[in-house]
Formats: sequence, structure tokens, C-alpha cells
Amino acid sequence: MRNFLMIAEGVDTSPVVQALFRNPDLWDAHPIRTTHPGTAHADVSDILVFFNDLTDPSTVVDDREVVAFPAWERLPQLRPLIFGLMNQVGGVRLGRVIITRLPPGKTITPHVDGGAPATYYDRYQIMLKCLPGVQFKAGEETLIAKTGDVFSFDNQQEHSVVNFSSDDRIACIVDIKSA
Amino acid sequence: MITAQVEGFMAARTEMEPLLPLHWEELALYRDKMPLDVDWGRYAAWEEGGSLLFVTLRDDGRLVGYFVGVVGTSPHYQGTLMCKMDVVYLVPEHRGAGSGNLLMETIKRELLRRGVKLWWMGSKNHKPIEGLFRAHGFTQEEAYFAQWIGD
Repeated sequence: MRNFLMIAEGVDTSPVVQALFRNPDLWDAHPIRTTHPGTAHADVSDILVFFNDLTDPSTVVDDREVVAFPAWERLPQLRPLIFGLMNQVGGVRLGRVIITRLPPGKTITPHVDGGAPATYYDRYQIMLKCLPGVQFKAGEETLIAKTGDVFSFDNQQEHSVVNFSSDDRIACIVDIKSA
Repeated sequence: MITAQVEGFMAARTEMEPLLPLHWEELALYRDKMPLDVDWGRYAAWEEGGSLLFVTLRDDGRLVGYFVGVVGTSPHYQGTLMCKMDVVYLVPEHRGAGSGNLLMETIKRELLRRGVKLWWMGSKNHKPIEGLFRAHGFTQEEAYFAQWIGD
């Protein structure tokens, strides 16, 4: 595949998934990605862990600088996954970290990412929960991922996700700048 | 008390095994030529692949009925999630008392939760149950024909 690169498989995501179960109020505390007009993420619930400073939404699209949101302190179980991934890929700068939840039967519609998340950072995804039936398309390629997979993909290609599995698909998006 | 629930299929195998011959005896075609020979490995693979839906009827915990469906997309319509019935069965002593309705409602609830858009059910000509389907909003859309061409 040219649009996807598998980084790791079988990563233990259960501590994070359990922490999410214990902290349901974190979902959609900051719905900027999922509620703006024309969003591809209307079916998704988000937890912003690291994101651009929302006090000036006009800088959100092309802002390299991110700040920690309350979820970073509430979900310490994320740290081994994120720092481990940064170490794995030679990361020197962390960008956005977003946990997204897509319910069964729902879709992230086709779209192309823009701004620093597409042009400055490499985008990785950690499949915190991903049962059989989820299809992640980028360009002409389709990745069938599973829980514990970690991969990067070319988010400047048109991409979409459809969840035909029996449960929520929960992914942790991690933007990393490598040396 | 009759209950309907979504369950794991392979976990219920030992409970299914006594009912399947009864189901086969009553409903199967070409019984003199085509013996019952369940491919449990295939069902296990479907279940592991996330495409098997198993809804049971239990009477005080005892298995008395089941629906097995395959959830997925068609090669013609890869963007539309469908469910196609594999088998449905209810033991005779529980028919006509509303259990079929409970089963259908439970199946539909789960299919809606899964995002299924199109639901197919089948009825044998010699033992029709289309009345149940029509009562739950189904319309006949296709007809399948068969011919035994073996020895």
C-alpha cells in the first residue's frame, strides 16, 4: 500500500479504553471538529487531548502550535502510547492528539485534510477499539484495521471511514513531526 | 418467561445442536438427497469476521428459537449495509403466542443499532411464514427457484 503504513500491531489499548469508559463526560466537550458546517465528522464524537488554542478559531486550520486540554490530565493512560509512538517514529514535535468515536453504521465522509495537520505533521492513528467491519479508505486503497493497530496514512489523499462493525470504532489520532 | 437477546453464535453451539435436526426435518428441501451437515468452521469465521448476527428466544433461559443473519455489504452496493437471513426457527410449542413478533422486534432493534439499511428474510414455499414478515413491514421483492441437478 502507498497511502497506509502499518507501524505496529497488537498494542495493548485496554487501559485507555477503560479510562474512556470511566470518563464519559470527556466526549464532545469541545465539538469544533464535529459541528462546523460541512464537516466530514458529523457522526463522530471527539475528545481533544492536544489541539490548537480555541480562543482564536480562525487559526485552527493552519496552526502548528497545540496546547494540552483537560483530557491530557484525565487520561494518563495515553502517555505510554503517544510517547512510545513518538520514539518509534523519531518524533521531535507533537501536534494534535484527538480521540474519535464513530458509532456502528456511521461514516466519516470523504475529505482531504488541510493546514499544518496535513503539510507539517505526519498523521498517525492508534486503533483503541476497532472490530471487524471497519473500512478506512485513502485514495484508492482500503485498510481493514483492528484493535491495537498503529498506522500512518497520507491525509492529503481523500479519505473516509465507514463503520460496518458491531460496536464503536475508537481511534486516537496523533500528529507527529519527525526529524 | 420468553426473552429475546443478541448472543454469540458459537457459544450457543451445544444448545443449537439438538434443535437443528428438528429444524431440518420440518423445513429443509431435498432431505432424501441433502443431509444436514453444518459447517461450524464457516460460522465461526463469519462470527470472528463480525458479520454474523445471532438472536435467540429463550423460555426461562432454555433456547426455543433463533435467528441467524449475515450482516455485510453486497458486491453491487458496497456502501449499503444489509442483513440477509440465514435461518430462523421457533419450536412448535411456542408458535402463535407472540414470540415471533418479539424475535422480529429484537432483530430489527439490533440491525438499526448496527446501521443496517436493508433487511432480507426468506420463507419456504412448503412452510410459509411470510405473514409474520408482512406484519412487520416486509414486502416480497424477489423469488428464488431451485432444481436438483445431482444424481
